[in-house]
Amino acid sequence: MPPPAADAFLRVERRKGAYALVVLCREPVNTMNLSFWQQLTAVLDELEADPAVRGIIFCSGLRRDVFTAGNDINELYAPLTSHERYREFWLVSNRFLARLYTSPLVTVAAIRGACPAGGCCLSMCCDYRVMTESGSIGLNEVALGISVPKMWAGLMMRLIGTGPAEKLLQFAVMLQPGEAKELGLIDDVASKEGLMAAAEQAMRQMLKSPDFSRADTKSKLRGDFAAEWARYAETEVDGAWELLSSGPVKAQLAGVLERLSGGKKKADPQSRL
Amino acid sequence: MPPPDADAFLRVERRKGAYALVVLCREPVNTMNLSFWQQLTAVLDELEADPAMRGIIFCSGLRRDVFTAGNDINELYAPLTSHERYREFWLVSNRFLARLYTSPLVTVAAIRGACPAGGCCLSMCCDYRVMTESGSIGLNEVALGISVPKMWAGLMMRLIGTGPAEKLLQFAVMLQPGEAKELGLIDDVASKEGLMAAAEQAMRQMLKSPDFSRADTKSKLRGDFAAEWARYAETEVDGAWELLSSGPVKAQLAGVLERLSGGKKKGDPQSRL
Repeated sequence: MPPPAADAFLRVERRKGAYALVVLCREPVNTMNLSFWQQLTAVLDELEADPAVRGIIFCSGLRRDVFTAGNDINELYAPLTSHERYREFWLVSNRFLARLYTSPLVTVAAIRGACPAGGCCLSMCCDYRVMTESGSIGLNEVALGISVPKMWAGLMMRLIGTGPAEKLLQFAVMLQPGEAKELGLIDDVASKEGLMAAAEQAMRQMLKSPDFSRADTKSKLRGDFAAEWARYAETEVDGAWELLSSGPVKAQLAGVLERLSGGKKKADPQSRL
Repeated sequence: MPPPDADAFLRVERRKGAYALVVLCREPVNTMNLSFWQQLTAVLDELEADPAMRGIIFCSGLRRDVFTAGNDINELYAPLTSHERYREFWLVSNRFLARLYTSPLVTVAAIRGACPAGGCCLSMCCDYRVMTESGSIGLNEVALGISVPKMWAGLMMRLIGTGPAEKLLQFAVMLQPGEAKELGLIDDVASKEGLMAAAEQAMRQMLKSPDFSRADTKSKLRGDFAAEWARYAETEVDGAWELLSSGPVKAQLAGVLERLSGGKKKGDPQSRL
């Protein structure tokens, strides 16, 4: 497989059987900045427009066992960004997620390793989630001093029920794979060696359903929520920027950045969001 | 018990204890056409108006182990029907289902055998579902090339949770009784010989609750959804007819009709919807 282009954070590997792997490969931990979300959007455009492609498996191509560490804190730490850039970042990422949630393609998340926050959200937008035995998953924003985005929380509530989700979300719980499967947050657990085979088997099974009726039914099930999601992103963005610009949140995120960079530098660290 | 009239698809058997059996008996597989839904509506009118009646158990009187095979495909296959008739069929059936869902009577579905699509929906409108060990249940429209109706999907999502329902609905999953009970889609599994006793025992238990407060509470729990259901049926019917009149769907349903009639004829076959 060819090495990715210098600033390409994803690569696409087409498979026989009418599906493609979208391999997330921004070393070291797939932190998702504006460019990452823009590249995800472009890839979704390309694959949805391709009549030979009926499904996508998202997976990590990193050296480390991390699916993605989530949103890049450089996009959230006010001194390192701007209102305009934050607005674009927020709208691009949430529009992608809402689109992915209703994509006519069958979607699978093959989760090798850690899957907090933004990566958890991306995986919940898929039709099927399988993760490795030593992974972890959850929306842990509260532990970093920020709130769980309302529609991301709503998505988890739809998936596992409001009662269970409320506990996880308020208290930044990261689940082990067995617990996640029991709650219905993921569908299957696999060994590291068996992860991709499990994901591809699930894909082939789901591709047995006729596309038109399956995709139309998916759109009936999820369309209203996805439309509300995209609308709400516009509504919430300015209030979110105000919060990100407030003293306490800036201080909290500054602390996160320092911890992530080992105290050495504050620019372009590995984020854990 | 008297034999049914030549064109009566149901019969009512009153029981001591203030409930009645509504026996579905359109040989060979209880396919539900416009007349069937009209008869169901008339029976619901009659029993709700009868002060001696406090509950209904729906069951199959067929020779075969089938609860109902679902909607009669003759009502969906555009060349064999019309826009006007389809509109009436869709509104009558969905108004009945929405009414059943909020009926002040206690309702039980005693499911002997196969329960796909329209039969699954009818049973989900009841307060309690018990099925035989060799039955199967689910909304399998996607496998027949049509979409699951939005409010039928919504009903399943209310019953078992959005996450589990989405997987069943997109991939036309038909559940075995044990799986169905585990997901909460049905309440109990019984032997063929024990089915009616189990249904009647559940009925007697539920009839211990005072009618007024039970029925009023049921209406609070389900009234909004049922009202939305009846409204949405009006909204969706013309778009649904357009889809049914499209080349691909007609071809798909033509294929279903041929398979059901063993390739011999296309008129009045057994439907599997």
